[in-house]
Amino acid sequence: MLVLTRKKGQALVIGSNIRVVVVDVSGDYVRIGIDAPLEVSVYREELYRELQEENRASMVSRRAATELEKAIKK
Amino acid sequence: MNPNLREGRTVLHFPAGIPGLPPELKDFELLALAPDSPFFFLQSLQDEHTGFILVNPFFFFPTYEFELPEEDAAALGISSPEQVAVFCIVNARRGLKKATVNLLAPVVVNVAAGTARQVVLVDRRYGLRHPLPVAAAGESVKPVPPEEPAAVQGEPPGEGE
Repeated sequence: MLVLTRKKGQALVIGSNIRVVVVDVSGDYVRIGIDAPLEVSVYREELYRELQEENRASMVSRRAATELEKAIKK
Repeated sequence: MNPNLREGRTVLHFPAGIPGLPPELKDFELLALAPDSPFFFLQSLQDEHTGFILVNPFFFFPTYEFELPEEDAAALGISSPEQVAVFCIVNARRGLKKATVNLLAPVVVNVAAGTARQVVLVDRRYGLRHPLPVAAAGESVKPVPPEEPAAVQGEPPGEGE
């Protein structure tokens, strides 16, 4: 993993079109600004991992979805 | 005319894909499970085995509301609520009676453009797994306010602007 030190106001450039800037530093917290294109989403890691798992657990086949709908209508 | 209504089909393009899925899965067809149903099926056009059950969250949770984060609004090209349709993913893996709805990460659609994004809200009221209030067989389904989510996300102070 690449580890760099930045201070408030300094930025990193990732690839050709992602920019990460340290907006503010306050105690244990760092406020980070990100400029990235539409195809790139940015998430808090802990939430992202949970979200990935939840999405994967939610995947169904079309047949299962139709059976669910029938069950609801009964 | 909506360019994504090809032959009456509703196709949604997710420029950023969907978290947890292979990144190349970006195009999905949205199908209502039945006329007047609050449930939909989102079928991947790139993988026939990948799909999701979506629900119109306001049908079951009429008080559901949120502020669309700026970066998501910008990514979707949205400047007003009228441009938007909202769906939430249903997890029915453990069957209907234990089905839950992801209110923390709704699928937000720019209807005219046919683009969509799963948006992660910074909102302590909602979680990834809200019980879906589907009544036992034979009863009608009534909307209820969102119950406490199965997992509460903690956020440090200062978030949510």
